[in-house]
Amino acid sequence: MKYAYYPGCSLHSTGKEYDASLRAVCLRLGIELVEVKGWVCCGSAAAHAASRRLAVALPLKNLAQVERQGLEEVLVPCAACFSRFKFAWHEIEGQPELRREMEDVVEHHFGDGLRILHPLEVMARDEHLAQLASLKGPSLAGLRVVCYYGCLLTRPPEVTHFDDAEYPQSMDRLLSALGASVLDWGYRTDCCGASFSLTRTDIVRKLSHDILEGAREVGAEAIATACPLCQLNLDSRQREIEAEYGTRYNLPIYYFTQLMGLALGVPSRELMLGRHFVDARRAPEKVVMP
Amino acid sequence: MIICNNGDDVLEFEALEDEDVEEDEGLPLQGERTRAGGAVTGRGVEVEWQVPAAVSAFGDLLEETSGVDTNVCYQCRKCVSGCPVAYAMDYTPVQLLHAVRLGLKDLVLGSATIWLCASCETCVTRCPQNVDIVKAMDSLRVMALRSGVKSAVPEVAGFYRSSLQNIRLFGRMYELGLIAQLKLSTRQFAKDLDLGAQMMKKGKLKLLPEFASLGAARRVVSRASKLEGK
Ligand code: SF4
Ligand code: SF4
Repeated sequence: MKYAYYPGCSLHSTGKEYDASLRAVCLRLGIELVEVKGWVCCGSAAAHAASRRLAVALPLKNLAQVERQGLEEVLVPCAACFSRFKFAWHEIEGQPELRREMEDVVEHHFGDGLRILHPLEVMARDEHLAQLASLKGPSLAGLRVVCYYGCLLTRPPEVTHFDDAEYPQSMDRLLSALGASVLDWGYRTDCCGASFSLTRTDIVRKLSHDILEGAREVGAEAIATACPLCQLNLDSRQREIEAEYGTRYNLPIYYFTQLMGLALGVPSRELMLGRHFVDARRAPEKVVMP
Repeated sequence: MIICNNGDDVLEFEALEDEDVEEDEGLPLQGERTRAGGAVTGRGVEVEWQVPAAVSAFGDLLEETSGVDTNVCYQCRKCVSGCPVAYAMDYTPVQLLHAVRLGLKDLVLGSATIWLCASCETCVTRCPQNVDIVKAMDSLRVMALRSGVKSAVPEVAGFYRSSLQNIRLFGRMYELGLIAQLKLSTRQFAKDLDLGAQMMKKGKLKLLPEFASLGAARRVVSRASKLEGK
């Protein structure tokens, strides 16, 4: 299977572990990733506050590139980029005039086959779940984990068409298939305040605190994420949050692809577990060898 | 037959048959524009309904730029109950929508709310009237930035400005450049210094920007801006 791959700005900097672990997992599952040539920033941080058209044009520029490379399906691992791509596509699908305008801006005429996918969506497909279950590799059986989807992956449903907006299950299913004890909790789609990472860190700390607290309440030992902004907030701000609220979480925050990697026997070095702020090298100890 | 016991009065209604619904064709669907008036019959009662058109010129302007009609909001406040940042806002999202309807332009564009909305899409997903609050907030921020109103949360307004400049300059996000620019504009030099240093150590920040797609990004930005007429 072959997909176009749009890493986005985060996976080239703060979320390199996500990039590395996703590539490692795809390699083992026989999924080929072709990075979008000359991709540009999707404008997720700011374009929508500057100009409605620019917010649509930037993602479309990348999608045009996907089609030019002869591909129709693109994997977008960052939830913020994923949301911008989905919105842009939704906008032009519903407005033929805007579509013409935008095709002019990005100098490309779009076909109808284009599909924007989050890697979670692909990995949680039945065929992959079966493939994973049949592997007699290591199991995550010792790990009690909660799945955190964040706000933008599933919402709004008529735009993202991804899982369930209030109670998504794809990551839960995926990690369960790998043997992990996946716990139920109430914060799977709550916002961590990512858009204020650099500005109103007081809001980030409050929202991230609520999520960490929710995870602790159900007895989780780790949180699995599917977005580089969520991961960074929960991980890098955890010490500050602990100081502010006078508590101790010490919860490692994994990308779901890192946990998949462990279960597929990828060495933890390749999964960059050493780059996290809260020590993430504990999970490999929990992995049960066959 | 539906019976409503309303304290002293007992009201009886005929249950709605499918054919009756046919007669109600004039009824607006959820989220549809409801500018015209009309009368609903079919239950033994006649109810006249009218949503006033053009409540305020500001409301109309917002609808023009964002496609969001604030008049269909029926103030149920479901949006506020799920909003994670409502606690920090000066006006809740529903209050802001109502202020738009009333034409309180200065209050709305000068509010902290438009900058504190995290664009998390919770309200949009749950609104029974399909009011796209995030789109409205986006348009209001654009209006505020363009009209030069002093932002109630200058650091967030500055972040939007700097990020855009970042895309224009480099084509892709260059976090270090963005952080430096933010520090210069907000003069909060000590903020997050420690965290930044740790990120550097862990190799989480690029030392140099990538220019791989600069030309392409500039071209899109300038062509899109031209369409917006500025
Ligand atoms: S949820 Fe929708 S209808 Fe209800 S108050 Fe909010 S915007 Fe208005
Ligand atoms: S999108 Fe904005 S207004 Fe709506 S719930 Fe999220 S933060 Fe609140």
